[in-house]
Amino acid sequence: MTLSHFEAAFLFALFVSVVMSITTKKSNKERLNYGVYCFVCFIVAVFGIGWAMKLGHG
Amino acid sequence: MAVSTTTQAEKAPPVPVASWIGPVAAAWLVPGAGHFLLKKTGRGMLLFMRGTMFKPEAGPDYLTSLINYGGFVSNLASGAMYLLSTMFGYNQPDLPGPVHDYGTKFLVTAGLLNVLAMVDAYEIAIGKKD
Repeated sequence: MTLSHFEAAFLFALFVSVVMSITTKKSNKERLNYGVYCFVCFIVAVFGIGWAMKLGHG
Repeated sequence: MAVSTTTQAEKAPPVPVASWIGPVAAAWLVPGAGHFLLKKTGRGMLLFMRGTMFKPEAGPDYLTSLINYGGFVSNLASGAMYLLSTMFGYNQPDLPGPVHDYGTKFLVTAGLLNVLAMVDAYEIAIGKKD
């Protein structure tokens, strides 16, 4: 199985968000909110840093 | 009689090792197993799925892994899957290329996430967390 860069980053964001939400929050509602928040932050960072690198390279 | 103004820090009684060593060891060996032992099935399943997706591989032997990869300890934290994959030869020489680099980072991350899972299992076992 060969993943594209985006697919790899997507899976990375998903799994890290799941584990971080499980291990840091105490209720299921908090876990869900924090997991979604982390995941969105990861994806925003993927696109933001990706575009910054593209523009930086000219 | 003077009233003592000093307050003794309320120390929680020490938690016996026997109450948490099992779940923590299980959490190290198989991701999610610590939570299963503590009857936290849902969280255990999620952690196990994450552990299964990050299939560990490393160098041809433990020493080479230690020298080649700073992430050896992190790989080792993945537990039985790392040990078994190395033991049964499901590893390959270090190859150049972005896909292999993703894999290396994933494996290191998997080990570090498993450390978080072990800490979580420990806290549940000692009653600090539900």
